Amino acid sequence: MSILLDSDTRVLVQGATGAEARRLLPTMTDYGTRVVAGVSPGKGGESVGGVPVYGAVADALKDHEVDLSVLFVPARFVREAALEAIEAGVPTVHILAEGVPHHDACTLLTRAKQLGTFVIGPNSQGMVSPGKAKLGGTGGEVPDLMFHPGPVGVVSRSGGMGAEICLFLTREGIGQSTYVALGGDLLIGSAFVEMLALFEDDPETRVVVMFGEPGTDREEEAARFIDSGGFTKPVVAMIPGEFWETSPTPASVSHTGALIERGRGAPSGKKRLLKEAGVLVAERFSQVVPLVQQALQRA
Amino acid sequence: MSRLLENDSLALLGEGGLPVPSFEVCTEAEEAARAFERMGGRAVIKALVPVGKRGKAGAVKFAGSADEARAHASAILGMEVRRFPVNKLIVMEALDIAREIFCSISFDAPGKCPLILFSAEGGVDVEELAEHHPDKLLEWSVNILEGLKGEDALELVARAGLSGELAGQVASAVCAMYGVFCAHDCEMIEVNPLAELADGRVLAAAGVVQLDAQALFRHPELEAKLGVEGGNGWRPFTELEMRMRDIDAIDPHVGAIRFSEMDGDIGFMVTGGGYGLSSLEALLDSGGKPATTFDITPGRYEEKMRQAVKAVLSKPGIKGLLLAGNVSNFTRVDIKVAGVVRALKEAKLDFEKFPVIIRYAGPGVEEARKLIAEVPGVEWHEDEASIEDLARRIVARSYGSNES
Repeated sequence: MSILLDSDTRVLVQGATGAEARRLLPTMTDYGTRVVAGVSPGKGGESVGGVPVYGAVADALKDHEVDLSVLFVPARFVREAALEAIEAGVPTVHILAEGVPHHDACTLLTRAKQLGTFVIGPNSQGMVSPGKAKLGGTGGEVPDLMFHPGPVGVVSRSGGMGAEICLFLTREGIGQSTYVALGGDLLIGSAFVEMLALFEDDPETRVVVMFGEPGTDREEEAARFIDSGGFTKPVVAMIPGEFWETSPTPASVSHTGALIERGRGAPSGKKRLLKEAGVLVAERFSQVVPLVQQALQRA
Repeated sequence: MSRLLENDSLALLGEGGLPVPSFEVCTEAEEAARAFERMGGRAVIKALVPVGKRGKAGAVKFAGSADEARAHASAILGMEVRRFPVNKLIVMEALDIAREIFCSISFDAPGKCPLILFSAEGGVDVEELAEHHPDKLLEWSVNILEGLKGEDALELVARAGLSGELAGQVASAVCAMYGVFCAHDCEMIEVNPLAELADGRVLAAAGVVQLDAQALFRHPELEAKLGVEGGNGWRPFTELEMRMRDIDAIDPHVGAIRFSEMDGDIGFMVTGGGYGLSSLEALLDSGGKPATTFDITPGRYEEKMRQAVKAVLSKPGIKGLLLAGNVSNFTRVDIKVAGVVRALKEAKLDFEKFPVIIRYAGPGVEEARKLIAEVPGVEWHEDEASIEDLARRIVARSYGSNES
């Protein structure tokens, strides 16, 4: 088992004829991802890497059943493309682009919430269920160097660090059930809580690693969720950036930033809440793998 | 930074239907004295700088005559407000403020929606108010698909305790702000104070508009207003930062650079948000003092890397250089390394003495390894090296320890 992405997950690729998709689609299908169709406006009838391309999501859905759509669409076209998938009823929409305007992200996430669409991203580097399937760029042409099937779920706000954690786990012989890059933007679809809920129900996952970042309250939400019994397996977390809290703070030009945060967002506070919820917190990167080993013995 | 200066912020709010005071931007004292004459006999002279708390810095003065305006203007011009030299002034009509209201609109990450913060008791101490009387700061979420309706704004201001004609005017002002927020892809708008004047009018006495850097492609006219004056948000750009901006500008279509100069002596060019932050923490942990931070988004950036490395090496007092990136495994590292190697060769340094430590992994690593071998003395690592290994190595070698 894994979450969100399995060897039988039927994947639609939006932006299929663009340069990024042309480069990465073969790495996805070679790895085992079941890509059933692609979409590119005005390019209906073409094919990319043996995958049929349609001009619109609705057209693709006439011929194929789809569980998830991954968007290789440039940032400025993401709003339209994501709304197309959401309105067409695709259950899960995975947005890779970095730099999606905030108003666009907000609009598509609001519509997704109304229709019950599960969104990952924007600005997600990808997703991998090792040995089964992968989406996006992460893992590149040689995913086996970094990912290996196993019992650890990995969720990261940073695409690079999530992959780095998987690499060091794999080097120590510890495999992963699913790795998800949540996306580093202010406004993203799902975050730690949604992933923890999925990992809770995945029998293969025994431990989850969370990599957080300063800002927002996604780690705080996760701490509350774990504390309230929403997730019962061991969790290892790392959140860098505490040193900024003691750096001389720049004079702010506005009051809104301070009012919005009001005690939330600081790595020290996030780590404290997570520890109180029983999470094993790695202060440094080198502690992540030993803590996972410890957690696996406990699990 | 994508924050507009006060004059541009007020102009944008004014165009959006929110009443704003009369004001003029001046660069000379004499000009300020002439502007004063058009302000109805009383004016406020303010430094036009991209930071707040100007009043506390003595850079906001009331003038009751043209002579006074001239004197204040010449005193404020040439001041430095929180590291920003004052080159421009705003001469603004003096307002008889009866009540100060606070209103801002920004995005709420947990709610994934626009969030209005509103207090009927605004002013410079609004944070303290929120801390001691959280009930006086109202939070109002907006459904972006429906927008902010007039009746919602009326209910919001009523809940905050406003009534009568004032409530109507303030509600219209909030709607105008929301209109500007959406029309110009703003990340944040703050009006503090939204002032009720003695004569009953309501206007934005001060305003901050922060644009969404990711949406500027839709607003070239606003992008043009974002000069270098704002610096990095809390101090002006340094010479090296200006040079890096020029390097970034050689090709806007590849690898956007984010760069910051710091006080230390180790050139720190570790890319990737989370990876860079974790590495910086490890470097500080090991006693390293970073001279820079640097990030570049993936792309064909060989030339940018060449120039960026040369720029960092040119910083006086630099003792070592760490170049690293996480193993994302989908960008070719040899493109990056080709630029680095050219810069290192051109620098003509003895790399046995000046430590350069590089860690890259991913596609193209074999080619990268060969390129690096052309520069003797450079220490090369691949995916086996952890963040902390690299931090310890560069600190030990830069600060004179001979361990290897």
